[in-house]
Amino acid sequence: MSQHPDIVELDALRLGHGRAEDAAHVGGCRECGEILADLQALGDSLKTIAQAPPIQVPAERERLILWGAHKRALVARRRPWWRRSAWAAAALVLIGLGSMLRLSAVQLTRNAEVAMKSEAARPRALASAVSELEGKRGVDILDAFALARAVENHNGGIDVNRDGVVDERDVEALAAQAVSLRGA
Amino acid sequence: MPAGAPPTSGDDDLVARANRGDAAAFEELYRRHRDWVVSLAYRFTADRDDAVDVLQDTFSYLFGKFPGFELKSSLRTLLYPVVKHLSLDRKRRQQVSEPVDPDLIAVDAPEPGSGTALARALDELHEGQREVVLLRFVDDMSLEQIAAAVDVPVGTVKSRLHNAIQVLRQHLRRG
Repeated sequence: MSQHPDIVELDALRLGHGRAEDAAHVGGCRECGEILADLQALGDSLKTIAQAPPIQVPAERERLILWGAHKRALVARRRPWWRRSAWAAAALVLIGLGSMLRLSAVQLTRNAEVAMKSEAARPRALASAVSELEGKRGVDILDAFALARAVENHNGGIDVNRDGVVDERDVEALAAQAVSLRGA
Repeated sequence: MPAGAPPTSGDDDLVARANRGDAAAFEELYRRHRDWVVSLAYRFTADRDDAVDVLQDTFSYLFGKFPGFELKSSLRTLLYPVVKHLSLDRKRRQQVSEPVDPDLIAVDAPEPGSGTALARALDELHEGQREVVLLRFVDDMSLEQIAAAVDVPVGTVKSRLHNAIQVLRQHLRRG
């Protein structure tokens, strides 16, 4: 027979969380079986002795406690300051980014206008432009702008569609070519 | 659920919900532990009104920990020292303002009229032993839960329990 378990280990069996080997031992040991029965009787007696009588919590007192619970739930539902700050910070970052993007867009537009003006002002040698257009692998939108200015100012241009006339249709053809995903 | 039996499970979930502001979870925590808290408070105070006062103060303390409360052990392990402290503090303040009644200050005193040999033996135990015995046999706590509740090592709980059981078992047999 295995060694007798300690009385505290036997008591763990009473509460249902003892070791399996102790339970097996008690099954075959009369002495330990009696101790376990004593522990059970001790538990029952102590519960009778020390258990408080049923105490009815007054309804008014219960309402106060539950009111405290609801008040606390409201506090818990509010976002903590750091989370609110995080949202505020995120909003500020978004606003900042938005402003930066807007400023960038304005700057880009200005740059484009400047570029257009400079393109328009540039005394573009049409012959070389044609050869450039034919020779270069791709054209960009600035070429289309330059052609548009040239057409507006009746300042010559490039017959992109080769229909014998330099007009808006050439600008459109050049612009389409400039933004074409398939390239020139 | 009997007042002494520990809750099966679910306190973790209720605490998580209460942390998110779920009023029903607060109520459930209260209803789940109310009877145990009030009977434990009565064990210390031996007075129904005081026990109800301690009940209210205990839950006020507990709810005050939300949001952000983390349940690291069982809720009763956490509540036990709170109830004990509030009860003893209440009795102490009463002793200052009122004449001392020896029956009332007998912490964990057995029910009046239950003058059995076992009740007397329980009352004669060292306070630390009596506390551990009651947590074990009345509240059905594990050694680890008792250790956490009274803030002593598990080995100390085990030795206190061992010695107390030996004494009480003799009285039980005498009947």
